[in-house]
Amino acid sequence: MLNSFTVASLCFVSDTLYFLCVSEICRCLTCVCVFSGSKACVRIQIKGEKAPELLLELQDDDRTRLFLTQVKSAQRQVASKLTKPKAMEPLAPTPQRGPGPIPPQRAAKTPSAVGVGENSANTFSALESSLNDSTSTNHNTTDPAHMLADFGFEEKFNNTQRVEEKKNKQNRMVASREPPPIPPLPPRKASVPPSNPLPPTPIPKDKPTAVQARGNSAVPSTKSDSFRSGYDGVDKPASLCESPTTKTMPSSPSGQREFLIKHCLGKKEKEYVDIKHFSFFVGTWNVNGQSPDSSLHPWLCCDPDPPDVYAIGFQELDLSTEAFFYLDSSKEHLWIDAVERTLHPKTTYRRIRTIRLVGMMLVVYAKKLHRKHIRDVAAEHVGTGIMGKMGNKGGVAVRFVFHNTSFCFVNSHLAAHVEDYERRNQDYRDICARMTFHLLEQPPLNIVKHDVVIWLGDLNYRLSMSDASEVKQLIKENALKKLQEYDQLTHQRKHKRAFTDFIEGDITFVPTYKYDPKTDRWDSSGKCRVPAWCDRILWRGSSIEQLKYRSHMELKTSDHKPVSSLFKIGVKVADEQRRKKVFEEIVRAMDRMENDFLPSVSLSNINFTFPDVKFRQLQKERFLIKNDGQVPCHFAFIPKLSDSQYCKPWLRAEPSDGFLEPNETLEMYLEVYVSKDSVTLLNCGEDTICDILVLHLDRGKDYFITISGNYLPSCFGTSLETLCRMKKPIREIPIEKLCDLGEDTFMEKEKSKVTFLMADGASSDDIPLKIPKEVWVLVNHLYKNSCDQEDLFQTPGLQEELQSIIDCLDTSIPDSLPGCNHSVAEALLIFLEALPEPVLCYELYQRCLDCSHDSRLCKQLISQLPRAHRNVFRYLMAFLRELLKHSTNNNLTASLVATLFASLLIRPPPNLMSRQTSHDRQKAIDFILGFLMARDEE
Amino acid sequence: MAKKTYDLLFKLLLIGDSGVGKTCVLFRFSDDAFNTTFISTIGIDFKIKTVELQGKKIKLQIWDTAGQERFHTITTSYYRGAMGIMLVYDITNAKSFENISKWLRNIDEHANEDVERMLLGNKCDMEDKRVVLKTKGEQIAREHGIRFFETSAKANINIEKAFLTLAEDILKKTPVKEPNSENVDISSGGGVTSWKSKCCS
Repeated sequence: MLNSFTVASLCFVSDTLYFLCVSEICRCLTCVCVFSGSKACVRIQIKGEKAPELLLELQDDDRTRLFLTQVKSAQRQVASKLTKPKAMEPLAPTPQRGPGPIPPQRAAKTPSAVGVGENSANTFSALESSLNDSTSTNHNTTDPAHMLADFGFEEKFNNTQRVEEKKNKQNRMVASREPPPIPPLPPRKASVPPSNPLPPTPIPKDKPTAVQARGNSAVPSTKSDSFRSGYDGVDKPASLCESPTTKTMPSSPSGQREFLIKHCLGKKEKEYVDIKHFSFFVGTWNVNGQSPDSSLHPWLCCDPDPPDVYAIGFQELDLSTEAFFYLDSSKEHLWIDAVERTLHPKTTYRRIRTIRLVGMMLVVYAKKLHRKHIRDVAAEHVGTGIMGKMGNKGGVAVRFVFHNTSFCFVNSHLAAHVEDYERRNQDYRDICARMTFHLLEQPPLNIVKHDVVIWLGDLNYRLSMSDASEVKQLIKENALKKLQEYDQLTHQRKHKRAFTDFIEGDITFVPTYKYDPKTDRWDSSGKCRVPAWCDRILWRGSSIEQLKYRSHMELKTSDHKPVSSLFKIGVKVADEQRRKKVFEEIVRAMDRMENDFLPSVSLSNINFTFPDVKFRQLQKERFLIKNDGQVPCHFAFIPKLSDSQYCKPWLRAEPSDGFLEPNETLEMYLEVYVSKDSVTLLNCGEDTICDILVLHLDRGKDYFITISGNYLPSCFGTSLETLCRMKKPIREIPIEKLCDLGEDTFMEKEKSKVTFLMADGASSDDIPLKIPKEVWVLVNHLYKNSCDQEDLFQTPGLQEELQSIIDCLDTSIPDSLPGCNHSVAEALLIFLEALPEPVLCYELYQRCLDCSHDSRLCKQLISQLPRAHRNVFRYLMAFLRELLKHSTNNNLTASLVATLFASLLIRPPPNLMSRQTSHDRQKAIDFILGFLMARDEE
Repeated sequence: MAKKTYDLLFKLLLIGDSGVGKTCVLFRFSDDAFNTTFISTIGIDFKIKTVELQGKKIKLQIWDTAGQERFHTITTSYYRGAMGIMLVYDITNAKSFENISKWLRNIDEHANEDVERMLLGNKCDMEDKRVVLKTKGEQIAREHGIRFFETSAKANINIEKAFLTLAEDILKKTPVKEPNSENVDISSGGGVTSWKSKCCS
């Protein structure tokens, strides 16, 4: 279960993170997880274009199955994202959503396509939270002893603990078939502190307490290291299931950036590092289960100058069954104490890390002054004993980065017995394959991924000579060269069977095995072992010079003699000044790239003028929008802050949003059309042909498009009162006057009319017209010409004729109108429909419905209408009754006329429009019908 | 040794009359370049630039606005959410300076209350055409308690300094984040979603 994060993060990492790859437009990675099950475990194979192929094994239990379900569902989601058209997905290293100032009501219009990264990040967090839920329940089972303590360097290395947790989560990773990926590395940062912060590792009272490194203030217990010894194969799955989960959030964008920077810095390393030399003391000793009984001074302190780093390996530290089965060893502390007593006295050292697996122990120290240059410390162990698992044979390793050079020290104890060199080769290969370090924010690292690898230990290679006395004779003659011809390790290396690319210095010391304990005498036991160079130190990497390679005969504690090597190693040391410069260049380049990859378009025109806009007359302007950026872009017109629509009601952009590939051009149209809904405000001057459209690019800038023009007012959409006060065609009346005319509410009009007409001065007649002249012209024309017109009001007019009728009414007081009867009839209908206040005023709408059953009440109601409305109503009714007299010719019926005119004359107020029922409509029709059936009165 | 950095995203806004050089100021800062041809900004544009302040990598997302009068109503809607506003006038254009108080009022009305403001008198390389004395700029800045620089995008005078100072002032106001809470990271891409939720809520 706990590997879930690793696996999950790998899935998502591949999907979301690489898109930032330097200067290359990246492809979305596919991540394939192959699940296969067997009785005991479930194998998960992860492949990615850039991720290493990984094979994980999980125990087949409930939690695993839950995890698999989650991974599979996540996988499906990723797959569904990947099938989306790529064109819709920004390739640029740009933010996911339009950044910055909240553009006017931008949020209102969510783009249909969202970046893949965003989606999968969401998916991930969903997955993550569910995972956390399930893991948080079992964190109580965590044994503090499982947590690896880190040694010293609290603040520097306090993340190692998290690394360990993470590592524990990960199942044993069988050797990658391919080398780990080259950076950019998938960020696997823990972006949120663990939900249950780890308690400091407690030091159990009944256990040996921590060994204090000299001068080191706080060294946590080595307990956890001890715990790790023993059954390698058993130990790991246990910790795997129990260690607490650190929340990992691999896809935080700043994490991506961080990694890209790191990657670029790595690539440009040469520009800012200098090679500086440091001395490394490497020692190995098989102590044969003994406790230290003499000073280690002759071994560890034999050089005049203190080395910068000590790496000291022991084998057979503890041969007790206790160490073997209970993973615990008191010897560890004895030897560490002994070592720390004898580190070079001329300087102070800090312990960097200790790791032990049964009898194998590796401890690394560095000069105090170097501690701040050492980071990414990790330790691992691999057991290769019985069944390829037990920890009596195998290796332990510590890795770290010193300045800019990575180091890996491996201490191994390989298979014994003269004839078993092939087993030793196998052990070596197993250690290489299985030794994997887990660091935060980095893919797993194996041994060969380090700049410098130093391999020490009781490698157990013997001499291919069976006669011990012959060997001893050659040693006595100091014929070491001759003897080395029989050395199995040299032989195996030559035949590329093991340690192929390692280097070993000339051996100038006598074999270090096997002596009678406490003496320098060769083994005198019954077995009478043939002497051999079991204890060796090899290296690989550049800039490494071996200064000393020697044994230390003075130490007689064991049946082995300790061996040591002094190296002078060239370490890449960054020049802060130059590094900063390179760093800044990288950041600059990334900024530049980000700016270059912002979406951008060019518009062929951004100022549009629509001259002489008229009612119901469409005007179109064409322009081109071209994606002149480097990434596909989504554009949309967005509403300005206070608006709900992106433009005024008389304007439309076609299309109002869309996608453009780089270099793609699209034709756009702006259409101005004044309909009955927008005509009134334009007529009275409250609105003008003037607007600014905001064309927004998703994740990018906004463009302003300016619309201007002039509007020619129309009698259509002008109130009956206003029209009654106009003695001249509307176009001849100055716009300011039109505003004044429209201002009065119908209740006040009677009072104001006198003033108006006086002020107008255009007419000597100060009485407003009884009905608008336009109504009269239209009705009179129909009355004169179309009473017998077949299908009157049932045949649509012609648009062009309608336009000239409207023009004609707006500009003149014609005696007759152009166009056919049907066009004039429709013009009348449009006129009535466009009236801002219907003939039957909104205010009286409800009463009108209520009294529709009673013709007397209806008439009463009409008499209460404002004058112009009342007159127009009566005038129209009279006209319609006249028309119905000709119904044999014009095919009109009372109910048809009533239905048509009821919908125009009796309109529900806008706020009630949606609540109008068919019953209401019928009442309105009845209302009109009552008047149509009445006898002529006026 | 790479130190851990916590990216922050600061959103800055450039406002001021048309032609005072807002786009040039931005272009100088982001691309270290200058273009003499005047192309009026019709819309809202932005550039990003990462700066390092007090060991923190800070991503500045700088929005350039249209200065033309007819767009004022629209551009004010972009003030909301800006953490810093640079108000630019042209020292060779008295009108642009007179309008400063109008712009300041705009900021009061439309920007976040805690927005960091700064006044820039641009084109200070054109000393022979100067009509606004430096002391005038200093005075109005003092009256409103904001910083003031005379800048020249053309001669690259004080541009970087102005931006860094503004960013620093914003940084001072930014609450200190827990060193371990890496989720303070704000999208390097500067998605409005992320910073909206973190900075303007």
